[in-house]
Amino acid sequence: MFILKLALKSLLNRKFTVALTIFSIAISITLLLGVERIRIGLENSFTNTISGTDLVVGARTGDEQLLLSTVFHIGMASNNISWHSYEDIAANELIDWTIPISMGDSHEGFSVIGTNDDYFTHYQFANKQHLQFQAGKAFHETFDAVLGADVAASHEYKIGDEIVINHGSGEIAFHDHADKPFHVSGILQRTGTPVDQTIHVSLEGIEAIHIDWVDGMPDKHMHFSAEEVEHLHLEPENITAFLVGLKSRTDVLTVQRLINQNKSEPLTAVMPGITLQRLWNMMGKIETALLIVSGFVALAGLIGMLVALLTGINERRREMAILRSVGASPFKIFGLISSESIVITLSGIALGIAFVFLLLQIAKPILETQYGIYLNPSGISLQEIYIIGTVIILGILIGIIPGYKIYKYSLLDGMTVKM
Amino acid sequence: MNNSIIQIQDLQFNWDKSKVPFIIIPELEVLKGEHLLIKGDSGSGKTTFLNLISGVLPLSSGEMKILGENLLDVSSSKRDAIRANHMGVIFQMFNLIPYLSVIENVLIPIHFSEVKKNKIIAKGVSAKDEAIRLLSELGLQQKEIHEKKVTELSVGQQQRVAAARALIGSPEIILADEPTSALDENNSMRFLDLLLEECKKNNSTLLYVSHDNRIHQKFQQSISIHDFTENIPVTEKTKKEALECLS
Repeated sequence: MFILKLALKSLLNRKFTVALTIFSIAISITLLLGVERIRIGLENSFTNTISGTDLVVGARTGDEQLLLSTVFHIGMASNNISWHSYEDIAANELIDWTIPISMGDSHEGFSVIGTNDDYFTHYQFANKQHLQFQAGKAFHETFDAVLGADVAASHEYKIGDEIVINHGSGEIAFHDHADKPFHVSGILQRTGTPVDQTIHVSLEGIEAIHIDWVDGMPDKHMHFSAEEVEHLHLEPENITAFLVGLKSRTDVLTVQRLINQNKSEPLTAVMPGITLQRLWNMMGKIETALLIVSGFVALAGLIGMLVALLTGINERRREMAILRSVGASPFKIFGLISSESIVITLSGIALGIAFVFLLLQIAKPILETQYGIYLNPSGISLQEIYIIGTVIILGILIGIIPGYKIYKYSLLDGMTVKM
Repeated sequence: MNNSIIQIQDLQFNWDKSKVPFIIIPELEVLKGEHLLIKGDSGSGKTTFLNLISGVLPLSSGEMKILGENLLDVSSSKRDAIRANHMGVIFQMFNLIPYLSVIENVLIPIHFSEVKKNKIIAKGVSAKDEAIRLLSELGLQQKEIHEKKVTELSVGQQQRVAAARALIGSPEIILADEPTSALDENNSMRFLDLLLEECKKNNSTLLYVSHDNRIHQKFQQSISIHDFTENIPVTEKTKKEALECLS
């Protein structure tokens, strides 16, 4: 006990150096745990990009490709689904709701999707959160558009502003639908998901802008104005994909098999959670790289502690000689220096954990609203306990080095120091 | 049991790898309460001798009994325990822990020795009261000094604190390694008188190392460390071996 008290007093005597050492370990721990939290947050956010949807259905293609094109708007769907097939499946008694999605157009590089009101009622992200409007409302007119938060922010769009949709995806458009502009009817709150970079219009709107198009080009002989088509009841012939919510999740495999074996046209139904997890696992190397980098940061902090302890050793040999003269054994001297390392390591870890929680409280709303990364602000996970345990063990092991050095010195110096 | 505190017979000490002895003491006896002056020039081996007495360095051969216990036969931890329980040490200077207060410095030996602690309890006082008593007797009676950090004290005051630390728990042996070398003549003599007086009160045996011949008459017995080292042929090889051991 006295040795520990002495170690604490000695550390207090060197408070500036010790504080810096503790701070460097704390920063390492903050980084290590922070990166781990963000990694888990990213994984959760990625795998929760779409939530509450039991199946994503598209034309026959690979699972990942269907999900990437439908949810992340990356790449193109291999084919379309006929409206008739969609209606047939949507009528299945096991299905609670569906959201049709029609893609292929864009605005300033942002994807445009055609859908219906069910999108705003049933689409969920993260932990089953529904879409919320920061301004305006869902589309009611044929040429109404609802913007994702990033789309609105990028061009400072307001309710009532006019936007022109380009034909095809990509930032450079060869044809546009300038003759039938849309008006912003609503702006969604930020979700941190691809929804933020999406313009939502009605399926009728998508049909209306393509009514006088043939084979992907404007018809040279026939043209209809926006006023002429806006009150028509237009039903799409095809859609790109649709999302399915089941009455009971236990039926998911049944419905998936049913869709995959659809006779009228070849379709693919994927469970988004599983496919997202598979996609995330493909990025596992990035996770490992992140962990390795933060591991080295922690190691650098501990080596900083070693350097701080080793540089102070020569000045402390006299102190150790005094302790030897009053009967302290070399082993107790070793214990004194080692307990200093333990105190520094534990203080650094405690401070680091405090920093992590403090930063989480500050960064949580920003990360959630700006980046859609949902962090767990409370509790310490098992993985984090392993990390902390490893740092403690490393700290103790590293603390043995100056402890052993001073032990050797105290054997050599005895009660007097030869320096 | 006789009155001997230290009994040395044919003691020989070699540095680890050296075959040539560094110190040979054919015979030496120090009695309880005796004040022994150990003279010798710098580098003559006085400190090595004190390290042998205190058990920090192990003997190579011979017999050295401290309170009846032959140090050659006991383990290093036992030697540490003998030092903790029965000895007090005063160095030349810088011999206090700088981050502790005056009282805390004086009390350090109590934390390493139950024997010293029990001796104080037997007196019916607390360790802190005993530390204050010793400090007061050594001329540091002002209470505000007791709580000060030792670095705020003069060198003379620091040496008195070191003396109080050596004396606490009434150890049978006090080892003083040139404790007045950093003091001027007046303070040096005053300190020595105080130390001798305290040792007399405690009936402690004092082994006082110094190269100052003027203090000779204050001691009952004096020896010269040269007597134990001068007949040893010091060759370049011996020096090299000793240096290797020290490096």
